[in-house]
Amino acid sequence: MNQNELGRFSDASFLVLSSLASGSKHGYAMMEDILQFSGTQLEPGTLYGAISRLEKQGWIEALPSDSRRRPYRITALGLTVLRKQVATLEQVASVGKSRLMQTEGF
Amino acid sequence: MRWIIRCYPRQWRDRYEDEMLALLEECKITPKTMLDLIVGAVDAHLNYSGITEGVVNMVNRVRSGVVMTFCAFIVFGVGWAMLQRINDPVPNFQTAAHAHPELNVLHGALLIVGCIGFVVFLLAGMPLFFVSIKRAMEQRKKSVLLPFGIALGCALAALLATGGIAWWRPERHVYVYLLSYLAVMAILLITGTVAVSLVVARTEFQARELRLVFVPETAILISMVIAALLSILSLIRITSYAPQLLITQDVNGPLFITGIVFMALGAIFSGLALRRSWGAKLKSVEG
Repeated sequence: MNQNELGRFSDASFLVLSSLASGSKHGYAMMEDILQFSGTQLEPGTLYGAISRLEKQGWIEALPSDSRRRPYRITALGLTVLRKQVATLEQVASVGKSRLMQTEGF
Repeated sequence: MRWIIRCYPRQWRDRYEDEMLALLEECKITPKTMLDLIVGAVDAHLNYSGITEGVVNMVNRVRSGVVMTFCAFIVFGVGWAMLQRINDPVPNFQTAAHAHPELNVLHGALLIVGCIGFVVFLLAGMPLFFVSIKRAMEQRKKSVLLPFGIALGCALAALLATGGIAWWRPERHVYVYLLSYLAVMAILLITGTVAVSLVVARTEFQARELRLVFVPETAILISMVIAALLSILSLIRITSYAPQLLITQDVNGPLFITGIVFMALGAIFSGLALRRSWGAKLKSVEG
């Protein structure tokens, strides 16, 4: 797999990066946060699939923890990637919105 | 849910099992969750290459490189300390150095290079050790605090033993006391080295804390290699022009050679440690 590809976990990865952009969180806190801001209920298998890929890419890193709930935080590289993804999504949304307006005659 | 987690690859479980189980304890388990975990296990088998990748692996590699460098420096230091006895007794050395000034230059250079390596070792090592202890105290991590206590005990015992023998100055059976002292110091050094290594090895460092560690590792390696080469050159010159220096009050020729072997071993281990850290750094850049 190419180093910048996240396969079927790309959506989950984007959600995880977005969640961690507001501060470090452990798995359950991420799931709750993602549900709150996107309405998406990530299942544990999908969440940890995304986490393992993001760690592999160096886009997030685990923080030390004395409990079983290990927190993660976004790295500088992860922030750059998230910024690019957000810019791309904004561009897609902008184009989609303008074409929708043309189609619907606004 | 443990049976499903066991379907994940071992490397994946070593890394994520505990936190995944903690998460599952907080989640409502539905058939969808179970199906998701099974798909996740298949995906992990197909795509997770675990210990060869990731920031965690990078940190682990760099951390083990730090431990290797520490142990290598201790081995090197023992050899270096043996070589420092070459000018004992001083009048003999000064007489030989007067006839062959390069002996003095080589001995001085060896001392300076070793001291530079030691200063770099302290400047780079003490902050990491401080982070280890601070974090262990915050988290009350016994697996780190216990070896720290042992290391501290070894340092105190070494101080007491040295102070005691200096104060006592035995006049009879001097060699028995000297050998006993050396044996005690060797045991304390080995125990202390293992304890400090465990403190560092059991600390969960963050990537940014180990980011620049290859810089002092490189400096330490360079100082070790230069010191080892200087020692070899020094011993060759002494063997050729002043062999009487090889028999001092408490060290002789074979022990000087042992010292050089220790220094060379330290340099080799340090090189391996740097290679380990450097490989991890490159991997992080590639990621």
